[in-house]
Amino acid sequence: MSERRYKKLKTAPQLKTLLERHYLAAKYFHPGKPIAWVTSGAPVEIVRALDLFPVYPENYGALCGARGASAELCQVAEARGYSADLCAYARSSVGMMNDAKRAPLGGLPRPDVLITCGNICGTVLKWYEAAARHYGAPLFILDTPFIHADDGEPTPHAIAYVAVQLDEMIAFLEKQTRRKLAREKLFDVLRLSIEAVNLWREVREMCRARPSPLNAPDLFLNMAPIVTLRGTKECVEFYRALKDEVAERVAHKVSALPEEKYRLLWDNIAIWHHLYKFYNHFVDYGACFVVDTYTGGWAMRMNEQGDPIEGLARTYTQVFLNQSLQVRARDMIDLVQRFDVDGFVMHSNRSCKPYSAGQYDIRRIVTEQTGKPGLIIEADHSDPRSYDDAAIRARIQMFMEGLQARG
Amino acid sequence: MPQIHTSHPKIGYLCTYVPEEILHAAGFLPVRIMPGTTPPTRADAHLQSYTCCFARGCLDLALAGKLNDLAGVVFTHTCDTMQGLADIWREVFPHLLVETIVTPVTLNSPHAQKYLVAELRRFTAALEKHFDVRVTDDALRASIRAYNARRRALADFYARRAEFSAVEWFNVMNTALTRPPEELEMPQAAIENQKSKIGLVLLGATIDEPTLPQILDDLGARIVADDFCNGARYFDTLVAEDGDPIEALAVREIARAACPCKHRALDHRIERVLKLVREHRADGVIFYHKKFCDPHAWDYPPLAAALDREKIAHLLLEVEQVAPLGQTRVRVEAFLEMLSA
Repeated sequence: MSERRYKKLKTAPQLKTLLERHYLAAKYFHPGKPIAWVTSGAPVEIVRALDLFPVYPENYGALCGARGASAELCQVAEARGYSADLCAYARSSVGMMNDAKRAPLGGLPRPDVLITCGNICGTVLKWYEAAARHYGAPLFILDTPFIHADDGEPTPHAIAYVAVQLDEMIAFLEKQTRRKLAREKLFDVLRLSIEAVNLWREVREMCRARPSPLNAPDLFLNMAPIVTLRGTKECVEFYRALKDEVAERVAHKVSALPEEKYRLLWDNIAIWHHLYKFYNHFVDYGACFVVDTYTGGWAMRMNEQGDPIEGLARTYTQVFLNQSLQVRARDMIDLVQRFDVDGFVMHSNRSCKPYSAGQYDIRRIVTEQTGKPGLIIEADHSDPRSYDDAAIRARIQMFMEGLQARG
Repeated sequence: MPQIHTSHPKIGYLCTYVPEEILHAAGFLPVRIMPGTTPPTRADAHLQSYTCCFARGCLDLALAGKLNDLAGVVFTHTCDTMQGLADIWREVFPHLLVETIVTPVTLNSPHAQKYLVAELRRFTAALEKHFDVRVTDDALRASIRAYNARRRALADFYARRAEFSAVEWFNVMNTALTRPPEELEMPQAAIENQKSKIGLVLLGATIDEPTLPQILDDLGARIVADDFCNGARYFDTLVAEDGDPIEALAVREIARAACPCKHRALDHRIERVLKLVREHRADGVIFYHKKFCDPHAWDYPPLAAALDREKIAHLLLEVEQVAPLGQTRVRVEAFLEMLSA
């Protein structure tokens, strides 16, 4: 793998230790805590408050991609009849289920329960059904109706439906764990969750500074705790340290890149298998990704007031991947303006149809409204087999030369 | 009952979870949109090449101006691609009514029905507002009776499908879905189909063009059952003709044989497919899948494994817009030879 060519964070070892500890504990040491596989958009606060140990197959899919293990694991799944056109996170997960010895860290621990939430895609329903069949573990599906409304607001009946399912989810987990949910505990976890989410949002907002203190791969790597450890003290501590470091960079005008000449926005999931190599093509031009739509998915606004169940129902139904392309275009325009970017790059991600279908229209809308050009690059978030570096570099070159010509 | 003539405004829909009765009761002719057979090049400006040919093909027809007689298009929440397509459609045709009925995914949830009733009422109100029409309970009940009658007629036709060719089966079904409910064109006389010895169950999202039925007719195989959205799943369950009509429509949506985008029970589709094979004494199963259709691709490995366990032979055909005639014929022929051996 290529090396990064921009400034490394001092908190990087802390991040590494935190995640290693998480995966080791998940695998070998979680006394009294049943393992729950959860999707990245599931209301993990309830899972934690009932003292289960949540693990995130999607995050593990990213890890497989970054460690170069995806292609082989995907092939295991494909040999069992899973189409090569399905999401590569899910395919590598199926590969891991069937052949753990090829999988990083020896694979994820067996789930005692499975919690899937449809607010990010339809794939997680089918993926978790496959996992439920494979492990014989009980499955809970949280159905969060998609929001097509232009104002991004869920219908009252959708909120009522999600809230009553959250009660069901609590009852389901209480039955599985033979524990009672302590409301106090849920509030504690929620407070920690809200604190970490707010810190993460503040870190992201700091990249409005010129020069930007962070580049996209920093955001991608540092989002791991907000996904996998949301609702824990360690998570809050990590983001406090990160925020301090990033604030210091901003105060001293320390740039992530050797020299920031262009500011860009990134759309869609990272290209994990060529993380540094891919983004280095932009570093060559002094182009820094100062903001992205992806890691903002976990910078949602959570409310401490009111009924916690209704608050969770609202928060998790309104996540950006559960919103129309019209709302996503509007959000992107807001980021383009607030982060003062020169252009945007959209990863048309073969593995992620809900994120990618609609990108062509979003690009047109954003360019029409902001005057900023957008580049679309087709790749896959974790399967490297269709990645063509030379072709991608040529497209990046054309795009960057266009930006240079604009002056 | 509102008088519907084909000259009346039409509203298109893309999935049989759309309750035609509501559109019909509002004075429209609901017509199912099926993709054309020419390459969907116009859709390339809006949808990636790794989305399914159904989504690209339907959008392409609209972009080609071939759906200009539609006053609106109605989606339901099914897969990720259709979810994206609904918003794209809204973006490209801002003057049309483009609505999505956000149907529940977990049909086994005790709360899904209540939610769906509220969602169907929201949709009905949106329709009334957009076109300044009223959907009365009486009109809805009349429409429910009309569509139930059509579903019964199609079920009767299916019961006698051994007498008809696969192409006739395809034509009856696809014609019905674009006509008023009281019009149903049946083939006049049963044909002699001497060669029809091997019985097959066909599985897939939709069957959009008759290449495969034609091949089956040529090779002397019969379709004894199917699980297509524009096939047997369309008339699978009737709507109660008494009580609150919107509730009755919701009850049917939940009770129908589920699309793989939905969750009824972990092995709902596996059990249903095995039952279809047993009940119809099928000799084999053909998966007629569209490339890039995620939900059906996901269901394939567990279904194939279940069929293997039961020693039921199966064949996977993965097609783009039009099944390639030569290649499909060779594969089906080899499969049928294996079945008759």
